[in-house]
Amino acid sequence: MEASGKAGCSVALTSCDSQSSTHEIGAERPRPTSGVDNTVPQHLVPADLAARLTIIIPAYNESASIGDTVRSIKAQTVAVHRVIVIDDGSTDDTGPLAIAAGAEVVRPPRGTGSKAGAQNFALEDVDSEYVMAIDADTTLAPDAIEKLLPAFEDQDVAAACGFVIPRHVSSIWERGRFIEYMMAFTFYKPIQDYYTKPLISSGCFSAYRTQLLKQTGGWSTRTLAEDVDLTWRFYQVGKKVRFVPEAVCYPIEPHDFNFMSKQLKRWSHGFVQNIKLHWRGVLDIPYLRTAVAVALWDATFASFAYLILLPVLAVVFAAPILLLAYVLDLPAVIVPVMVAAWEHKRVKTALLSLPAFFVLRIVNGMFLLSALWKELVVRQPFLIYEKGH
Amino acid sequence: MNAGLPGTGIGGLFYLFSALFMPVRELWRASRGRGRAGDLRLAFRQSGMAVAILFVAWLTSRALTLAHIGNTAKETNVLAITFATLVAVVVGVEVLSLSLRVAGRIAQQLSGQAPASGGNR
Repeated sequence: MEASGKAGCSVALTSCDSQSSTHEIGAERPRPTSGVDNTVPQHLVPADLAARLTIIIPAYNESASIGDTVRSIKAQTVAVHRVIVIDDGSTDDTGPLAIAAGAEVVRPPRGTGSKAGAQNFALEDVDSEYVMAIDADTTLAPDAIEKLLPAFEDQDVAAACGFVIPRHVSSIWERGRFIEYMMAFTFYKPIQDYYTKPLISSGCFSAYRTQLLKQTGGWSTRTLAEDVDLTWRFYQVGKKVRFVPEAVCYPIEPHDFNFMSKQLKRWSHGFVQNIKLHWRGVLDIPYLRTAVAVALWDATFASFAYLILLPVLAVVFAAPILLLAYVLDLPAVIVPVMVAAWEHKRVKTALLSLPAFFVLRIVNGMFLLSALWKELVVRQPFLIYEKGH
Repeated sequence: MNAGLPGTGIGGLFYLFSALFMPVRELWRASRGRGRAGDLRLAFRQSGMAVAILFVAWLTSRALTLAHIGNTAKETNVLAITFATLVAVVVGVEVLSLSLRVAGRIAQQLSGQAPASGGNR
């Protein structure tokens, strides 16, 4: 159904659930019964929190996955207030499939050009206390929302994110990413959370306090990593971000080099762009400043050593044994990966995927060095956002 | 997204130290009644993983030495260089942060004085 929205927006709106109604983006709509009320009592049960949650899903040509994503939300152990899919100029059946699965669908009059733009378009219409952004190719574990939302009982928490596990693990790139995530979300991220500074509230599955999100300007399009930008902005205004490992989501990761290279280019440029943008603010935040500095150092010098120094030394000294350094930390990588694999019952997948991790790590290094060179040395910022799969 | 190269460089060492320090910090916080529920368990879980990582790294080093591929002296040197680099980066960041704060305060004081002196004229 088409409705003429404010500011000349042509908005398609449909819903298959109890919230089914036609309305305009930004128009007044009934508030959730639980209301947007910051004076709510603490220690609410997850169902109460979920009733104050709107989920927004930016989508561009995601017909292969949008149905699963919406259905995984509808199958949650707690019911949410609204599920809005932003059909951002898709040329396939993304919209109708999202409607069939039970979501409201909004369609900006023109493509917004980015994930952040699509999310901001929907954010204007969000009237609930919490808002969650989920990628259109990401499904949730049935209890993911129930586990994630209690993080907001602390009034200073602005955002919370969960554990990410690739849904399909078959190609070398998916396998490499599987190990990368198992290690990062089992060893690094809980440590960052303990020191109250998770480096990033992952864009594929994060919840936010709506008022704070709006106050800080929503998702910015000034960098290619809007999740990093938002996380660091929250820290700079004194708010907290939490990582909740029990809340699990399953995104579809790039399955071939073409898609992986687009994602890595976006992430590596986004990381460098955010350092350029926030370095002064980050320097004021204990632990975060050290974690970012260490990550930047490794992105630069470990990448250089991996891609250039090691092979050169191996040739110059006629010592191929030096190339062992590429996999020398395999036993150390195995420890957190196996802990995670055991907990998530994926031991066989993890063992079979370990070699792919070392391939992906080298490719990561290539993209990081390239991004550092282009963003910081030759000053050719990469700002073109390639949407969808 | 995941920044940096997981497992490599000074990042690995930084998170090992961060994990090993967690039980110490948590016990200190608990002794002052500031511990959070679940944090002590998390602290021992992460530090346990860190100890296991250090153990397998040591085993790898021993295996390489026995296979006449590496030797303890070289490995100790590499570790020392990595540790020194990490210390340099951490200290560098702290110094930079402190310098900016001091510079900010001085600039604030100067800007506070400027209108006052202008007003006196």
